[in-house]
Amino acid sequence: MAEVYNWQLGRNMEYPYEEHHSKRQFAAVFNTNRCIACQTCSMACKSTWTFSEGQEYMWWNNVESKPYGGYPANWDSKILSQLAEADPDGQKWSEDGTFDGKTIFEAAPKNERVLGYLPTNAEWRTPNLYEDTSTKYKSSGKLGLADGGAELPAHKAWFFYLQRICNHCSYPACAAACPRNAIYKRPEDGIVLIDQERCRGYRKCMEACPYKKPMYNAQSRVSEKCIGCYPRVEGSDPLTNGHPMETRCMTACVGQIRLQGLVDLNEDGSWKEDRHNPLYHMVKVAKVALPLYPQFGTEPNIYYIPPRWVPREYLTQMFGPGVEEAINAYRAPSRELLAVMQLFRRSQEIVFRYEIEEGPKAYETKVRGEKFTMYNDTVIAYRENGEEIFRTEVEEPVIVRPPERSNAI
Amino acid sequence: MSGHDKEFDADDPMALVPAVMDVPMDEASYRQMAETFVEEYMLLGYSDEKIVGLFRNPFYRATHEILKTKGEAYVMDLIEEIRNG
Amino acid sequence: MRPNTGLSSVAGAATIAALVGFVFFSVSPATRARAADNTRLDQLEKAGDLLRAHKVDGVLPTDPDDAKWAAASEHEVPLVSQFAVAPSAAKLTRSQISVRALYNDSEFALLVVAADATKNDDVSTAGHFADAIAVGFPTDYGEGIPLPYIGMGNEGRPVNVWQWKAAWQTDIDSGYRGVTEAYANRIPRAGPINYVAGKAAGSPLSQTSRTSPVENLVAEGFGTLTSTPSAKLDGKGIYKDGAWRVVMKRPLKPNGVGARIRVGAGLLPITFAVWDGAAAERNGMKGLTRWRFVVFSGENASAKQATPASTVLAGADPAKGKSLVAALGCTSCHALPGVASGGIVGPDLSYAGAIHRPEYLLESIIKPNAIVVPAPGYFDPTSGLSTMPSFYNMRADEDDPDSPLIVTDDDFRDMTSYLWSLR
Ligand code: SF4
Ligand code: SF4
Repeated sequence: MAEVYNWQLGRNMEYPYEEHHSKRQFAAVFNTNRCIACQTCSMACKSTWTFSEGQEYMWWNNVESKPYGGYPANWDSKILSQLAEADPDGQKWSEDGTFDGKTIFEAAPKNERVLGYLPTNAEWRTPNLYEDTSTKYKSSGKLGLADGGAELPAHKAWFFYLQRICNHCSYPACAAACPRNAIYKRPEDGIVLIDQERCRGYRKCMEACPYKKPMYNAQSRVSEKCIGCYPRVEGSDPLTNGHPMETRCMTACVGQIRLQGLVDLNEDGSWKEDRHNPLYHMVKVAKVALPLYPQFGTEPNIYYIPPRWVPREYLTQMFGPGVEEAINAYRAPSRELLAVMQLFRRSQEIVFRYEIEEGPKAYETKVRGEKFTMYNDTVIAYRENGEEIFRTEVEEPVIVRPPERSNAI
Repeated sequence: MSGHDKEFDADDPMALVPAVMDVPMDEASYRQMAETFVEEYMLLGYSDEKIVGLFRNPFYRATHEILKTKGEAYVMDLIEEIRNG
Repeated sequence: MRPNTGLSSVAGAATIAALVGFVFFSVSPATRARAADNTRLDQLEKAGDLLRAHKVDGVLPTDPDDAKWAAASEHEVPLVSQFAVAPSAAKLTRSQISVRALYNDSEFALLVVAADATKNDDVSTAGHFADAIAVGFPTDYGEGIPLPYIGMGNEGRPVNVWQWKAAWQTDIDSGYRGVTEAYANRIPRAGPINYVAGKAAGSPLSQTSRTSPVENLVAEGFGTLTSTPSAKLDGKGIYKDGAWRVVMKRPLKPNGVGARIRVGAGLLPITFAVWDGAAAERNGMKGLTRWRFVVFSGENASAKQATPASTVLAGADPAKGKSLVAALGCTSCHALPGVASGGIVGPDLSYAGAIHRPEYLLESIIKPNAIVVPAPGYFDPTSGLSTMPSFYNMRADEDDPDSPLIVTDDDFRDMTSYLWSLR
């Protein structure tokens, strides 16, 4: 095993291959606080990439309710318990933010390159099973119908939606596990792909990916995975005249929770300082967005703004030690962060740089005894070549539905 | 055998597959959830009166559920706490 | 019915030939060479390293049940789990196959019988893996040409693999089993099948019409296995009574990339692998065996290229070798039988002799860098050198060239004979 540096863990870790980095990295920020689980993203992906024979069960993009659901079922609790078993009581972060436990590479048994498991067919079958279910459900035993008729879900406890695509990891477990070297990470944008000609359907990637994003196609008998809509990211879709475009799941997002882009990397894999790249701002400056299960060790590149109503212990397990800081940055956003958050879903094009023009004060209020002032700033988004894509303001008009139409759809 | 006791059978096409999720709801988590609602509204610049209205209105299911379960005093206390810290 | 092996008469002839050669050893160089060859063959046979291919008239059979197979000798070949490189089986297991070989002036055919409690030919869900049987040959071989590394060959020493697949057999017997066929209750789709990426990319696995259940592959090291079409590489597998009976056959000359089988030019190195779909075996998770040699009966070809174990290890003492292995600390990196806390840094050597030839074992102790197994931990990624130390030419006093060697050549052979005994 080679030693590679994983900045999300704050330390070197074992990885089967030498450290190499792409020039740029595909990355995105998902704001879990705003997702409405409409699944438009899932359908956008499916109708673009996985509508063929053999792809019926594939959801390269899925949205699951935590802590109840998972696709495949229990994917995260399964790998977490495998890790806990391999390293009892050791899976901890130290005070300085270094991960002291074992990654899936370090915990691999001698006969495998990565610790993992192959989900069963049943686990893939029902992407949203056990989610959004009434706590009042009682079965009479007849066709599974409820005694007193069905009741609508009434959530008494916290839950949140987790949006998941392939993380186009910097240290992909799928590529590490493939005995065929059929999986590669593109040097130009870090998108991780399975070579459809070299793959021999061994499903070692399915077994190794902790996020369970490579999937076996029973029609073609080889495995497939999220391709990061690479033609769009390359700008080869005619819609934007050659300018890089965000993926289908991002651009379709109804809740406007997703923003995807490309970040420039230094040779050592660290993010090049790029103060006015919205992703750089959110991840590195405001530190409002965190990787999903960084302790797995793959250095995933989808960053999540954690849901602020969820118990911190659960969130820390899921997003690592930066949770409190991220939530604080989100609940009382700086003037700049607030403006950056307006960049979400105003355009299909990748925003490479933003600028803010200060605007007038919109209102002032008090929260937790502290003054909070809202300014109607304008944020301007630019292409790679410096051309303006769009500009938008922080304040949005609020329209209250009149009482006589309160139940209208 | 009642449906309730029936073992889960992944291959039974007739089986409805909802699950009873009895997630224990402790007071602290409940309060955290309720606080989040209130804080969000305040950040939008809403007045206390407007926020109470959202709890009273049954079409705002989540906030209304809190009012129904915990009563008006709990909600007023919540708003007061989030406003003044 | 057990086919007539003809073993005893051939072995007898070899012994006699050896004797004749000994008595009249100055008669003629050709006779002497013949005698030496026969001695070699005899010794290889005793070590279980020889497979005899019998010549038959007419077309070679593709059907495992064909009566012509009765003419071939049956050879038992033991297999052990591949355990040198991850991914490998979680637990070492042993199994056995039987092999028969036939040839004529233009073709070569093998019949492999492998016991298997379940028939696994379905790959129509993510959780299913299918049985497979493969045979491997060096793409080039002959006197003076070293054998490729047993696992997928190595750089400069490619191997040609014929892999029969249970899933492909079913494709041929009853049509390609895609999702439409696999899921009978599936709501039928109107119109033709949509774009299937693997098929469009030309993956041989995705092709819905096949003419052979056997895939032709070449490899030059781990991860380099490449499918390459070879017309007329044919075969047939039948599952019956708890066993697969599989025929693979091909013209002597490859129709494309592959090993050229030269009947008159010496021994043909051969190896086998078996995958059990029920145990989710695929890729490196398989049963494997060491290089053996096919001798074409009735051909007066030289046997010089194969060195019998008894020659490599003549006079070596496995018991002494075992204590040397313990004394030199080999067990701190390698698992060996009877060692409680076997090392896990290097490959497990519990069945070293089952998958490696003695000359390879000897070479790898003396010169660990001759063939470096490219698995994580086995070599230094920067230098590419093996992490295994060598005691070769190391002296008790580094600065004194006259001080005794720590490990002598005889010691190396003793150690090798111990590893070779682990079969
Ligand atoms: S489209 Fe956006 S809001 Fe809808 S489920 Fe997907 S991520 Fe959530
Ligand atoms: S999320 Fe999984 S499939 Fe995607 S790059 Fe990472 S390891 Fe590979």
